[in-house]
Amino acid sequence: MGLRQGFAGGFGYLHALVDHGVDEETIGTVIANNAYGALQPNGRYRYGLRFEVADVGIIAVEVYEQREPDPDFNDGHALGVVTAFCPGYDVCPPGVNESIP
Amino acid sequence: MDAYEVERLAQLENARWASSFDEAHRSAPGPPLKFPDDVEALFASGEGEWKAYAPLSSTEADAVPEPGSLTNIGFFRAAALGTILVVGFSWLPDPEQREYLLHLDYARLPSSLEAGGTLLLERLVQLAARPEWYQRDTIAISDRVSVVVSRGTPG
Repeated sequence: MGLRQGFAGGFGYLHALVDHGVDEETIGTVIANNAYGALQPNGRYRYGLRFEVADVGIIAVEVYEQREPDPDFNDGHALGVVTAFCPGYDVCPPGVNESIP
Repeated sequence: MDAYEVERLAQLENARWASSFDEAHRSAPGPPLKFPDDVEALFASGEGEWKAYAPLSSTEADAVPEPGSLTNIGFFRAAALGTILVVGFSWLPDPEQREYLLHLDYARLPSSLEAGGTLLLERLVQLAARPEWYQRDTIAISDRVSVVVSRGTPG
């Protein structure tokens, strides 16, 4: 899966890192630890890790992938990771990146 | 983004949401996240563990409901009003099955369809992460339609 540089305030790696505090290693770990991406009704695929204490979900990190090329790119490749963030948080707590194995 | 680009974004998102989505992927809402006051302390305590939405031993046939899922959105339609994108959608767990109107102003966003689509995706997911958002974060403007009013933050 591709992870384009993108830009802050937009999409891709820099958006996930700067705007949501999710680093490249976390994005890779989320994807690598899921058997598949779950198709969403907008055609994107979602991967996620959820931190649980006593089987109660506390926080999650989600990565969204677009497998189709985007109209504004002419390289013919999938757009790849469009964003990664913690649902419910503008910026993920710093401990998320450190905590994910 | 200018009005022309927002119009393109509306067309693109309508096409994305109208594409063939297998209803078998649709799921009931899972339990909401708890959003503790001090999540860092929980990480430091050594309690708890990270679990994958789709564990490596699983298949899509085993899929379990997850919180905050876009799959709870029934119909979707987007329209551009200048640089403002207005999105109407239904929320399947909503017992009243109202139409909810969400608006995003793209005037200050750089010219990028990717960024525009990403902002919309995030706005919907963040909204869905709020328990009972459709009762807490909306204002009814008719007996069938409500406007979403808040940004969607923890809690």
